[in-house]
Amino acid sequence: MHYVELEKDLLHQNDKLAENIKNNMADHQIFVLNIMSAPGAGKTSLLEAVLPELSKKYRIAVIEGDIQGSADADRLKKLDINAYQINTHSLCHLEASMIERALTNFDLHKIDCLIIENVGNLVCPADFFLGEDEVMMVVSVSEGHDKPHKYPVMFSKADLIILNKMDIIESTNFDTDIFYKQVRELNRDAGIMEVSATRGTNMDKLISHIEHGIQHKKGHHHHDHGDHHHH
Amino acid sequence: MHELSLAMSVREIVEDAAEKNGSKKVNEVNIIVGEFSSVSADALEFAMEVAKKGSVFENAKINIKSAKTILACSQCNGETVMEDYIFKCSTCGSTSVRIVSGDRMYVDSIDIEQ
Repeated sequence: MHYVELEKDLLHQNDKLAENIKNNMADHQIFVLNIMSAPGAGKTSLLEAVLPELSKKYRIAVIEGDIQGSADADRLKKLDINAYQINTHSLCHLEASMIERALTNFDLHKIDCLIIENVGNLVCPADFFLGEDEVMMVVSVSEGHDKPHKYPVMFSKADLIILNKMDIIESTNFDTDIFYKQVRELNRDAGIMEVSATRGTNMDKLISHIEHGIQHKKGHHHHDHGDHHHH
Repeated sequence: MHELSLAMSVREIVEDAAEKNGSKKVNEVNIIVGEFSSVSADALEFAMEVAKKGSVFENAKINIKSAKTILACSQCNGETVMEDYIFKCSTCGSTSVRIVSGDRMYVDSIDIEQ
């Protein structure tokens, strides 16, 4: 009998690949956004609302992650957005290896911003670093104000929280005070934006936030930053 | 739910470590699952029964322990156990804390025959 200390992380392979992606994106000065939410929170609608405007100035690429089908990528392609669909089949989240393979479909020299729309799921995607600069989480008011307490890991890892469907808040019992309080217990620093993707409310704020990220990446590509949610 | 792929990751880690240590039989595998990770220890335990078939640890005892989330405070430099998923130092009350452990899952150690 011989006892061997390992302390080997179960996600070490994913983390290693994600680091490679991060370095590759830094070399190409590509700002990477990883968007997470529950199904139906409005991730794709948000992209439809902001990408046509951003595309006037920047070269945007989108990787869509879904269990099945190409509905989301098709929606974006209709708007002339460079989108690639990943089907995870039964898998509940995107992994770095899938992003690595998907990236072979793009010319990295011709991209300023890569947006990864993760599989709709408030649990598993939070554990998988994909090499992103920022985690953007989308929550809609119809999901209820108690979600931060129920899904603490993802809320704690978000850099920006988008509170969507504000146009229908009157039809729900969503309490913004409770929501903000719960978010702040988990995450002191994340920005919170109240928007309506379908009405276009506050889309200018989100556009300028992403634009700032793109500009920052162009100016600071040699520095290591934005990895505080990584371990 | 992706515990089976995590269990296969355990298999790869254990097989690799056994080979490096010149062992063909593993008696015990000790796994730590942090409370602040998105994984269920029960589901992982179940998945391990599948993942160990035909491996060097086919007959090993699999111990899965869950670990509390530990926070370090940047104000008082104290460390506290996180309560109710709230990011707050229990000593000085500051919210300027960060996770030092309990957010990962890993193979802590193995017991092998040489």
